[in-house]
Formats: sequence, structure tokens, C-alpha cells
Amino acid sequence: MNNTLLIVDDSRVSRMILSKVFSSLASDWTVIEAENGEGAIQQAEKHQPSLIIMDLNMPLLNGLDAALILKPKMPNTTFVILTADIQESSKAKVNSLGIHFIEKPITESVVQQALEFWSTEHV
Amino acid sequence: MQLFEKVLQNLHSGILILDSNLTISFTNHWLEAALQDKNPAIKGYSFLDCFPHLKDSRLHAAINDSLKNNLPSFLSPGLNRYPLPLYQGGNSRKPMDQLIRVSPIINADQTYCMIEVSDVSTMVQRELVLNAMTKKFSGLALTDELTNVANRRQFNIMLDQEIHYASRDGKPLSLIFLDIDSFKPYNDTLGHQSGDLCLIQVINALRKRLRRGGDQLARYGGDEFCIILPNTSIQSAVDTAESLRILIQELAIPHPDSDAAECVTISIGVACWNRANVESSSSLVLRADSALYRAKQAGRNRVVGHDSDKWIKPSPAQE
Amino acid sequence: MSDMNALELDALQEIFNVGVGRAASSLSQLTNEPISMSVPVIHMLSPQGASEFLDPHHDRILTCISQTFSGSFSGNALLIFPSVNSLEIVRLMLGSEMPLEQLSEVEQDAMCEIGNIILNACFSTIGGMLSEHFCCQLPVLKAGYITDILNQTSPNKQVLIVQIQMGLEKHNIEGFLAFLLENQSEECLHQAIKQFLTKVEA
Repeated sequence: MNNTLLIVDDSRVSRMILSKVFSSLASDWTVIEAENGEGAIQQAEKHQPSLIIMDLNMPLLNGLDAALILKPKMPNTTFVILTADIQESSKAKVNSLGIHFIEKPITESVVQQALEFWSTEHV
Repeated sequence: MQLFEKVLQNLHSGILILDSNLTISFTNHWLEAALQDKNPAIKGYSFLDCFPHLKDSRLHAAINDSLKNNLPSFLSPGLNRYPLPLYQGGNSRKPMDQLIRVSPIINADQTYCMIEVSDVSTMVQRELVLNAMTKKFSGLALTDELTNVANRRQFNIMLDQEIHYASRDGKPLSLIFLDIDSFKPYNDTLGHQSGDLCLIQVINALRKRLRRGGDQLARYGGDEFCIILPNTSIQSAVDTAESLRILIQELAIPHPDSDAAECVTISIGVACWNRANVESSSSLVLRADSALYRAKQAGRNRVVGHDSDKWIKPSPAQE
Repeated sequence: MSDMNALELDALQEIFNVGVGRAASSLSQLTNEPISMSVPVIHMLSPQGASEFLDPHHDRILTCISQTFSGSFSGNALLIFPSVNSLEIVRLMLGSEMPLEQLSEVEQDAMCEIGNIILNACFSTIGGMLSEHFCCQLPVLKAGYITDILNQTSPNKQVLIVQIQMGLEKHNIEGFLAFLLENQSEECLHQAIKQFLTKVEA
């Protein structure tokens, strides 16, 4: 069975870019999307993705809170926060909760980093 | 030397030019002179080797922004304290306040970065003096001249502020009103100078006791004083008030004409901010003042608290 | 500007989101305090609509920092602080306590730098993400009525307004970026965004 990536971002353009760049690097993955934290929880429970890349600032439920709800239920999933909020303090906060952190704008090297986080956790 | 280079050399501000590898390709006389303890012959060396403490600083970021993104930057003296190790004229050894402009310059397909430095020490110094003066004047306008505690105007500002914090943080807030028992007869018998002295003695004693951070003492008017106690419930405020009452009594300042005791004593009213009613500051003041009135009616030299329509006495242990 | 569709506006918003994120990061390094930020909101308005949006009664003196730019797009970029409270940003960053109604010279310079940091972060992000090149001038601080601040715009042009919010020590600071584009630049920006989207559309 293919691995599944769940992309969570309220910006449609961000989801498009991430999906496109990711597929070019890992074409055998199934990519699904959600627009906010609540949608992410539904999608994650239904599809059990092995990698979740989530925006931080989103309406309703933000990415970090959603990740903290999902993480205990999904021990085999790699959680990555992808955000424009690149302050050291934000990064430290996300990392201290055991969640990976990558910076916008979405480029090939940034997405590659997320894939590496996943592969080191799934050797 | 070409004319333009001579012009740059003679400018009364500093010029430092870097190439795209951050190598220093030009410095003018003004900058070299201001470098005092650095070897001024830094031309040809790497900027970061000459100034290693600037790595990853705001100036470094501005240089990169100009070389990589072609964007100019402005560094103000307020947000960047002494970015370059420059000193004011002569051998004063006073660090120079600097205003720096960083601009990209493209010449023959090469990008350079020009760092332009102005000495703004005089301006920064003048503003420091002005700020200190403003602070002093606004302090005078808000302080009681005799006792040197906050005056009524400042008290009103402080109380509104504390109510705002109490409401935001969900913490209790208490207010104490106090006055000196039979103060008018004291003044009439011993004279106003003694009256003033008595006020100062009482206030100094209260101030010493209220060392706890956040408690704020103010002169409301005449011989009436108030104390704002943030994060303090009614019973704890009443007990604090009782300890202050005892403290003043123990000063044993003789009072020849008081019907409460043979020495100077105080009466105290206490009220706690009513969260449920989102009570206004004026209503809280009114309740503390009426508790004080009740303390006087009941014979002076005592503490009365008011909360939820009940009158409250100090805890038995305190009496 | 020929009207942008929802996806194009979303692209513009994401670009400014990254720009404001970079600006917040630089500002937080200067203050050593974390700065909270929310996703910027984009508005396309006529010059008159923009004036009314920024100061409905046209009777306040607003502070603004502007930088002119030229290249792929040309025009003037402004950072406007409509509320007097927003000027608090500079006092918080400088740690000054003076409740002055007017900014002092040191504060004005600091304000200019804050504007420069925010505008440069947006310029470099636009340039990087849209692969466009332009150069720009040093920032200038101005104070005036909104109509004077926006006066260079011809009435048939649109103004791109980006509403940004940052939080510093419990204070919410609201500022507005206004991009006044010259001549063909509106169309160039629109084309650049279309180009950007064709690259990401599957």
C-alpha cells in the first residue's frame, strides 16, 4: 500500500504548491488535503497518513493544537509544522513538543527536509 | 586619486564599501579616525574578520539584504546601540551613537554594498536629557509635594489600571482608605507645622511597612490616604489594615486632644472590588470611604471592611 | 488592475504571509521578545476606497513609512499606522516610557527602521517567490492626512492594501501596507502571479 501524506493549510495556493513539489519528489505517495485543524483530525483518522505537514496559523483549530490531539493516537505518523512564522521562539516551542518544524516559502529543499524527517522515523 | 574618491575621503560622515564577498574595498578618513582602537588599515580584509561580533547582527542582515536582494536598509540609533566600534571625536573614548544607511551599488556588473555612518551622539544625548526632564515634570504633577507619595490624580490612574489587571487576570483587588483620628483638633492645638510633621511620620511608617511590591500608597486629600492592594482578598486586606492601625498606635506620637487615645491613631475602611458587578472605580472608592466613616462612627482607631453588603472585622488572631 | 480571481488573491496573501513572517522574525531578534502574528488580509481598493478604509473621516494625522521601488514593478510602498496606539510599537521596542503625543527624533528613526524591516521583508519575498527583480530607495517617514499620503495615485488605479497584525508584549499593533503601482506595473504584477500559479497548478 502507498504511503499517504496529509497536507493541512487554509491557503489553497499553499496546498497546491506543497502537493506539486511533494509529488515531484515522491511520486508513489497518495496526497490528501484538509483546510484546518478540525478537517485534519477527520482526515487523519480516516486515512491514517504516515506523514502530516501542517500550517501553524489556521482558523478554528491551529496546526499545533491539532498535532497535539492527533499525535498520541498516531504513534507511527511523522508530524511536521510548516509555517511562515520563522521566529526562533516558535521553532523552539514546536520542537519542544516533539514535532518537526520547517519554514515557508515552500521549496524543494524544505519539502525534502520533511521527507527526511519521515524517513529517519521509518527506517 | 580621482575627484570622486577625494570627495568621499573628505566627507564628514563615514563611508565603508564592501564587495559581494564582504571584503572591505574602501574606507574614508572620517571612518578610519572614528575607529580609534582598531587598526584603521582594514581595507582589503573581510568585514566579518575585522568585526567578528557583527556576525548575524542586524547590520550583517542588512548587508546581505543589499548584496543579495538589492534592498537598502536603515539602522536607527535607538534600536541598534553602537553597531560599529566607533568613538566620538578626539580621544574622548565615548562610544558613538550611529545612524547607518546600507545601500546596494551596482558597478560594472558587480554588486557592492555602501555603509554610510552619521554621528548622532549629540541628538541622542539631547533626547536623553529631555526624557529625563519630562519624566521629572510628569512625576511632579502626579506626586504629593508634602509626603512624596502619589497624589489623587495619580491614584485615580493607578486604581483604574489595577481594576483592569484584576479583571483581566481574575485576581482579587482591595482598597484601603484611612485617616488620622481627630486631626483637626491636633492641627488647631499644635499648629499646622506639627500637623504636617505628623502626616509625614505616619506616611513614612506606612510606606516602610508596605514594602510588598505592587501595594500603592496615595494621598487622597487632607489627612485622608489610600492604599491599593492588588491580588488581595477582603479578609487579608482587613488584616493588613489592622496591622497598620497597630503600627501607627505604636509610634506613640502624643495627641493632646483626641477622643480615641492619648496618641495619634488612625481609622481604616476597606473594600474589595466586586468582580460580578464589574464595579467602577468610583463605586469602589465610595464603599471604602463609607467603611471608613463607619469605623469613625464606631469610636475611631479601628478597622471596618465592606464586602457583599456585609461589614467585616479583623481576624481574631490580629486583635 | 484587471480583477484578480480568488486563487490569485490567495497567492498574493501567501506571499505576504511569508514576508510578514520574515519581518516578525527580524523584529523579534531586535527586541529579544517573541512577536505573535496573524495571516495578513489582502484588499484591492480604489484610491478613494483605500482612503476611506484607512481613515473614514479623513481627519487624522497618520504616520507612514514609504519606500519607492522600480524594476519589474514600479511604484511606492507604504506602511501606514492609522491608530495612535500603533505607535506604541516603537516605544515597546525602545523600552521608552514617555507618553508623548509626538514621536521624538530617536523614536522617529526607530519607526523608520521598523518600517524598513517590514517593507524589505515583503520586497525580498515578492522578488524571490515571483522571480522578479527590482531595486528600491531608502525609507522616508511622513505624517499627514490619508488623502495626502495616497495622493500620488491616479483615481483609476487600484491600491493593494495588506492588513497586518502583530502582537508585542500583549499589545496588538495593526499596520497597513499600501502598494501604489505605476503605469503598467499593475498588469505586470498580475501577470507575474498568473505565471507563478501556472508553475504550481497540477
